[in-house]
Amino acid sequence: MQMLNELLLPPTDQQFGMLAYLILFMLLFALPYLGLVLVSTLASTGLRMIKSPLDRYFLEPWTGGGPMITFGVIPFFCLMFLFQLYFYGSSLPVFEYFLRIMFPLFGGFLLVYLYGKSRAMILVGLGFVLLLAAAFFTISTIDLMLFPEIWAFVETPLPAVFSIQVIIHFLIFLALSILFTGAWLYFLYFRWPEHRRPTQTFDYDQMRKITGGMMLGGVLFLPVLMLWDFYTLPVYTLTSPAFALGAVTIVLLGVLALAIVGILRATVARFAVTVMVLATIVFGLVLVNHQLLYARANQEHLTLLADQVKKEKENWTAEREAKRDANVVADEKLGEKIYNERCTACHLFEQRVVGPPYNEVLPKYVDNVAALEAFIRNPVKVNPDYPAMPNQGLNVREVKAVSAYLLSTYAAKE
Amino acid sequence: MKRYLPLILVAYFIGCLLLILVLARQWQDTGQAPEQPIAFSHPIHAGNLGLECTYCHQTVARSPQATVPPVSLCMECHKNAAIDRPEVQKLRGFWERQEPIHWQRVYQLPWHAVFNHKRHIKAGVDCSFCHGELKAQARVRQVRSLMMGWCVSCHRSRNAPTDCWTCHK
Repeated sequence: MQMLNELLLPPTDQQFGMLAYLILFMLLFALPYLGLVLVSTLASTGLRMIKSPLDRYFLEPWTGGGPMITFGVIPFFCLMFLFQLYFYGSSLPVFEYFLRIMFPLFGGFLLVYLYGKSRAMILVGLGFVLLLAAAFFTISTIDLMLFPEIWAFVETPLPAVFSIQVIIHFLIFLALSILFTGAWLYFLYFRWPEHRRPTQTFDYDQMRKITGGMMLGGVLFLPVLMLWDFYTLPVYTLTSPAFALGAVTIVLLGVLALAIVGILRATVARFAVTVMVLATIVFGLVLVNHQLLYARANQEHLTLLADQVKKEKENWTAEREAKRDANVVADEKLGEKIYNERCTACHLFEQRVVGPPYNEVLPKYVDNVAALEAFIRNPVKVNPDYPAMPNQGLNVREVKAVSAYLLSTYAAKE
Repeated sequence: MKRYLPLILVAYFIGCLLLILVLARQWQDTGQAPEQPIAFSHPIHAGNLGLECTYCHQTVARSPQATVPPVSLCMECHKNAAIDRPEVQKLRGFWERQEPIHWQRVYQLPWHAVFNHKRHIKAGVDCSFCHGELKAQARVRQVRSLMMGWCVSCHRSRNAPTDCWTCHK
């Protein structure tokens, strides 16, 4: 949308740095929430099909209108504007990309919300497919940050979609979501204050096994996917901190795996807070890690862009000033006042004071008032017999006025 | 089996950890900006001093290779300029000993791909398009993937030939 592009001012290089943080901040809300809804929708549908009464407990905590709008809708609107700024100067149709994300995303949220009320299977099936598509498009759009070298050539997100990185990152997102959802469900139903807990009929043992299985699946797949990711990432995106953070994530996943085995083996619920906290940290770390990769990938691009933006801004300011100056009308009365207050201390028409007499210097400006104005605004030493004229700090209106007054007075004297 | 599950898990995660360290090591050896025998600064020469790329890489517009300048070209200025700096003294050492400087190559294409600088300069491709903004790179590093898909996208967008034979002779 051209109109949206025109609304945006070119960002400065400091703002580009800030944008990366804001994007990360929004992603920390948007992606875990999307993962929660996606995985719990799938789990709920699966449980419904095997006629388990647990199915509704999977969706209940996060499919209310409040969480959906706060974590699902608002971050995506913010991300749209942030990306529009981030990709400033490229020809990428960011707004169209986000339409492609938002239609399935909001449609999916709505259907899942309605499913929570009506329990119609068709709604949840369609909702799940839409959310899956939205998640895939989100990952492919975010991953454009990884390939600044193709921005000049990409018209649709399809080339990015077919890249191996997008597929790996989507799988990482799914594995993280499964782990995260499992950990939060386990925490909610085993450690949440008593009054929020489900009723007596709730099958705790089955819940523990399902969520434990989900977590273990996620935890086992993640390291392999991360290694595959590091192996295939373009060389210009890698940094030592990214590798270090990757190693820390794997260690945390190991600790999580041992806690999950503990959960699956025990007959009573334990480690609920540990797994919830660790799973949340791991999700955050993976996002931060990717942000490091994006930052490294864009380092060069942002330097070039900062230069371009600086030039654009200079041109823009010069144009604006030229336009403003063109509209200023010379006010000779004001000129006379300035002449008497400022100029007469050093210049007179007939005789030399500190500076040269006007009768000597003004003839060269008679048909070139612009040169006189330029000199008054930025005086430079011309004649070595005289000291340099100090800058009087006059604004455009005052310079125009005093120039016009000087030239008309000179003409009258002639 | 169930008894040993924690042990198997620990072994699995330690294995993954070792693999990531191996990948990091491999990247440090090959992918990171290599250390050069002299810490030549593009930001000073191309940035502050405003030298054109072709001032040093003289053959870029007339031969397939951009080439690294001979030490004699460096010495044209550094006979007198900045001779108190340690890196310039290193350079003068090479010159006095009449030794070549073994610069580490940063951009390396596989043997089956042929790249010709002259053709690209002639087509108006800016150096920064492939090499990034050298003025901001204290130590030169590879800033593009140099993958075939990237080359082909650019060729397509500029109506340059996409025949296999163009690059694979």
